[in-house]
Amino acid sequence: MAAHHPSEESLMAYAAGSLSEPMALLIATHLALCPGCQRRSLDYETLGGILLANLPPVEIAPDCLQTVLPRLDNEAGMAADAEARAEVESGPARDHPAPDDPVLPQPLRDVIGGDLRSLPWQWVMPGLHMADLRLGRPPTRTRLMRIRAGLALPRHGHTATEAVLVLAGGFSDEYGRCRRGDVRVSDPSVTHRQVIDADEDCLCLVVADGPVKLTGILGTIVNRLKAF
Amino acid sequence: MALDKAMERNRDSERESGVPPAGSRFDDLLRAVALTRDRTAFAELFRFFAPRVKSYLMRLGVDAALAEELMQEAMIMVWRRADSFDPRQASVGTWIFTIARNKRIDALRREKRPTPDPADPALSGDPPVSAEARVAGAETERRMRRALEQLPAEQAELIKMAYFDDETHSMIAAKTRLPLGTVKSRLRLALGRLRRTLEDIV
Repeated sequence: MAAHHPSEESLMAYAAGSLSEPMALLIATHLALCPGCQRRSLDYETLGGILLANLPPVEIAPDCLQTVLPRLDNEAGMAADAEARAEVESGPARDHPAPDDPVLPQPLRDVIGGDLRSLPWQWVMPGLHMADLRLGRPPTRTRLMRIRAGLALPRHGHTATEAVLVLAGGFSDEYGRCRRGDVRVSDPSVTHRQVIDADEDCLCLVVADGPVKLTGILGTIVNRLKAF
Repeated sequence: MALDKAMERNRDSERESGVPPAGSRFDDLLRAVALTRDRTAFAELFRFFAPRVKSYLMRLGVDAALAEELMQEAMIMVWRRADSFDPRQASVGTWIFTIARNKRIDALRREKRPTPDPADPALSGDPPVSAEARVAGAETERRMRRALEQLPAEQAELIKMAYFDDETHSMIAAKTRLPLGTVKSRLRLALGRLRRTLEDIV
């Protein structure tokens, strides 16, 4: 069970539909792994229903209901709807034959497909690869990060908010231990040095509004390498 | 007799808030739509929800013409998906809210909103919430209403503003003339209190 969870604010924003696409993906993926947060986010959907019912009604087109009634059983619409529903129930049709990787919860699979190997992995430093998922608007970047078991990352800070969701393996730092399902949000006040668990490679989904800022001599070198 | 009085009180509170009581009436209407394709029932749901769904969309910055169109699509979906409504999971209001919300997101992104699938084989750890363990949607709504009522007025107001704001909360900061950091920390406090209040309500 996850030990580190998204904030109540993020759960509310997810339920309200106001999160950016990358953050919505990160939260949805966490919810798939965390029934407790799933329940909490349903509470916020309930709140949305209450607030919707309390909103002052605005004027709608006077013939609106008359326009809508004949469209209710429109056959083309029903067919498209049935198709959409089948898709929701069985997942979108995929053209890649590779078996779905069990490490990827469905919200993430819907975005990147089921095969981790098919992603555009790039080497960042020894033991660390990243794949850009090309989701969201700059400066936000959405990436998967794969880090070798046992690796100690250079100490670094953050130029902007960065949210990390652990999908496999785990890491420890000054703030505790993170494993599959855990969410860690770092703002610019956070500087840390993560050590990857020794028994398994670590796979994370990372949504960052700005690059990390490496500290120390090694950091200076890596900062230069990091032109990627 | 007691029942009459309770119904009378119910009607009073309905008049006061302008909002009908949650639960039974909307449930019945939606059930009629699902089971007998009852257009009169649909029309009644439409009269209540359509102007509010449009209001919700416009509040989020959708222009009036698009809001009208998305509202119509959302209401048509209410008709077509009525049979998938599960009163154990959500109240009618909550269900219609999620339809309207997803319509807006689809219109913005032309992509599906990421949502977890309870049948997902990649799920691990705790078992998914079972149907029996789930509180009925109307019950969840009742508890949330009470929790909101018990919150200090300014905290409830802040939560309402934040709900229909974007995630940066800069609109609230502008409206309240508070620094952004203060808005964020007050919202955190208010949501913490809402959560604790909700958990105390039986």
